[in-house]
Amino acid sequence: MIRVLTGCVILFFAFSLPVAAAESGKVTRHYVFNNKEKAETFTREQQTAGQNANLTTQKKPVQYFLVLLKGYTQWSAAFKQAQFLEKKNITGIEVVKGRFERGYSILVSQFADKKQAGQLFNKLRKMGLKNVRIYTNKVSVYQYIVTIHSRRKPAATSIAATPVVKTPSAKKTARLKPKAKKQPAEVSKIADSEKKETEEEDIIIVMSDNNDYTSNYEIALEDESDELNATIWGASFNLEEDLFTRDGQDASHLDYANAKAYIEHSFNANWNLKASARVDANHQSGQNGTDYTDTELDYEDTFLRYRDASYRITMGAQTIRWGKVDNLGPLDNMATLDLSRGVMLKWGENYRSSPAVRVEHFLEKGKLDLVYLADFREAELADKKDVWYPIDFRKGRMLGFKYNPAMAGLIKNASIDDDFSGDGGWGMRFSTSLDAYDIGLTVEQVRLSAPYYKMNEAIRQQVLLGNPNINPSAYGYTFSEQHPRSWVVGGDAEFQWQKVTWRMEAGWFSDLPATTKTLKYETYNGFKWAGSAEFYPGDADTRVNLQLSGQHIDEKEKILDLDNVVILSGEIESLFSNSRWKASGKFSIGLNNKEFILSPEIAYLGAEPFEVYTAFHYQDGSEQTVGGFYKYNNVLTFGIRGKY
Amino acid sequence: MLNNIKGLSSYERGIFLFFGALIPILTKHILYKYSFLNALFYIIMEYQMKTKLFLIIVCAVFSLPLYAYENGTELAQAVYDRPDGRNAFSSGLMVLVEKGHKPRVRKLYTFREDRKNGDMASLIRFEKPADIKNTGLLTVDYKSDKETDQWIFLPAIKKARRISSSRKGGHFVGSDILYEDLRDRKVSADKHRLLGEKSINGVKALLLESIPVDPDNSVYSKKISWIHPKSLVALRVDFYQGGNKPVKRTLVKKLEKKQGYWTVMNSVAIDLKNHHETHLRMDKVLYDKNIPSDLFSLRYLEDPQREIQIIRNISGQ
Repeated sequence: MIRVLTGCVILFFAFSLPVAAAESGKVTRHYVFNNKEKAETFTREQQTAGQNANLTTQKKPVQYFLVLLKGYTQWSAAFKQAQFLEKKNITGIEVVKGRFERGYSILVSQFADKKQAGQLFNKLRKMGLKNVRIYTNKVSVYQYIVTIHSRRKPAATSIAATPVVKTPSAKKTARLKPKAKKQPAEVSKIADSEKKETEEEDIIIVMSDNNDYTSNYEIALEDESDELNATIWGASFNLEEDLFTRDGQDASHLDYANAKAYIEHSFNANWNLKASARVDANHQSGQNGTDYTDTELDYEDTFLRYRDASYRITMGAQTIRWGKVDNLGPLDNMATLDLSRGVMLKWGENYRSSPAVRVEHFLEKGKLDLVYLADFREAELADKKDVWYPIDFRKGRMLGFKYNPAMAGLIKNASIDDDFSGDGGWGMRFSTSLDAYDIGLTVEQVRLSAPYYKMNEAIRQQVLLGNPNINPSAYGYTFSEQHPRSWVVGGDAEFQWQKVTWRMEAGWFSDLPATTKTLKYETYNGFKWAGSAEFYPGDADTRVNLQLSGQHIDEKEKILDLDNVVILSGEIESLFSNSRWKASGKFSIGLNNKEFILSPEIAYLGAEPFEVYTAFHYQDGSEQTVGGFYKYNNVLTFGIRGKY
Repeated sequence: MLNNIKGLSSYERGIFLFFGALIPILTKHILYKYSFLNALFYIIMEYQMKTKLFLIIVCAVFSLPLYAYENGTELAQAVYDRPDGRNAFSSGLMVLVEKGHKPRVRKLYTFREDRKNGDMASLIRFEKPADIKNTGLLTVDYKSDKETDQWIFLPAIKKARRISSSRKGGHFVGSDILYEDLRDRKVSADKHRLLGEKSINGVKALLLESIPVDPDNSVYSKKISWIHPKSLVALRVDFYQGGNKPVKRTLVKKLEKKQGYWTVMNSVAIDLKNHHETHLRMDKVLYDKNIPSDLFSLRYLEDPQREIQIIRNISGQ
């Protein structure tokens, strides 16, 4: 009905369109009508007068925008609403029967100009009318063109018409200009649109929206602008409830909230500034003193950047990711590890920024990257009472070591010196793309951000003497965090082969921390390696990333740590139901030590910008492994996250 | 053969032979502007050949080459070689529409460059929604048989990573556009056949069928394209995955000439199975601008802020 109604409105008026062009000899004149009868009458009259007049028909699409209030099941309700709007001086309203759905709609107005439709849309929205919609409608308008080839002027007729004159040699259609003619307000708007389209010669509209619901997307575009701003900002949040499911865990649940925000300004092509921050809040509840609440404000990437044709220099806190593999790459030592949520963070998201100066020098083939970590930032850990802290004070266990009843008492009463200062070291990396390979060579002299705990020497002596009643507080801190400065030399490569992206990375370490049988803290040479394969099974929407990684410590004497670790881990992600749902997960299996970690998650993505999810994190394994240490932390998670 | 046709005079035979030889040449030029029937009418009227028999023979014998292009491959090559500038920038919106659900909008911009050596590079960057903001996809297609290189920058992990360019079937950011649709597909990868001429919403188009030479080289078993002869743009493409019914359709909603290049300003991809639609609306398209070649590098892929200044420069903001 709407289409018919509007078609009638458009066909109601006709306008003729003049442009003059001088020509010697024969002149072709075009008279354009939107009214067929007038065109025919005009043609007949010209032919009668002896002119060579031909009438042709041309189909032309016209687009306009309807502003509608939708979803009234009763005519009376729609009528009442229409009366209300009229009281608000919004006139020209009509109640119409829905085209594709049951019930009634209110046709508030229609415009050729989308902006005007948008203004009315916003006005109605501000009045609290959530059911306002804009629909695009396209109709074909027939134009009737009378062409007269003659040296003479056309005969006088009863039809008011102004010609469009074209020389016979002209290739393009003559431009058409509407004759000024007073029209009803809405019709004028449509006529303006028609004028605009008519002047655009090289536009082809192939199809119009013929599905009611497909037009809905116009609504979503109301606030979109194609301007790019020099200042951009963003924010995100995450609210999560974690329920611990395994017997033996004193904590019953953990409430977690996180918010991040950033702003970035680009001064010109060379300079830009970024500032970002985050706040994390944790509230853990349970028994045996597991309750705690902690809120922490922290910086994220906050830097000043300069760039030109050859250099990019970044000064400030930044997250520098080196290497190729996604899960704890051996060469990825420039950024700070985020261990605050244990195994719950996704691959690649478990890094924080570090204060640094970075100089990237771009060569013809490749890049030289120099980084100085001005201020060492140790790994971000959970609160000491948190279940994800690497020391379990309640049970007297420490991550990486077997449970020892003789040591348990000491650990339960231990104090930790975690105040570590100094610079973080430096690193140099060369990376390039060779044919189908991306390769990199890295040299680092860095402090390792993951903490290692060294026993107080006096206490160690007492333990070795077999003193059963050690009072650790008498000797100062029981343990002190260690971040050995290590040389790291390594390389990495990335390429695709057989529909798989292969990534590999290896590094030699001069100083990996360990504890000898005599509880002495030592550092040894070591070697870390990793190789991964990323692929899409069935060439569909599921991504699988499998990684095999290992660590070997070249110890000189027996150590309490695991000296050989080989792990198969993986990450799987699958989108389904038109990408409104995402199933994902990660796992880790110890190949030479018993360990199993599994974290499946399902998330609903359809309510953008929000993501509602539930996940389960399962850990198990031998005592020295991560899975074994956190085996009491099996947790069922419900949460919502969002980004703006 | 001509001697066996009854009722054909020697005069007519002579005319027939003469014009019979000319018809393939004439129609190639004529049919660029006229449809098949129009062309036939044109020929007949022009030479006053109104004999019924002649019409039948012409239809039967010379119907095959009655196009501006000798064969499908020639048309496919013309489409492939369609002028589209040495480089281009475009920005617009991708809207995912599904009945009963709120539309999801992705705002993005793209850069493209045709290199002198025949290689082609492109960079796609997302601005919205926030969860994929600054995500970038860098693709380099080579003129030679070398496999396409592709890298993705994911802001969450803060580094660019190479991804498998042989991936074809996955949906690009949840849209109805598959990864294969984004990639440069060489003419020789398909067998092409000209099926005829059809109108699409009043616009005349040449029907081109394309079947992969190697079935493993495409997720589609067949494509039928409605090629607009003037612009050489596929106004409609039906995609098949076995069977006689298309599984997907792309339609051009608005085709416009920008800086002398035909440009698709509005289009839609429709999944014909579940009626999910992906609308693409270009708000700004600029050709042959001063886009630095090193924009198509890992360096810039990891530095989205740099692009903002380039966009401002080329669009005169």
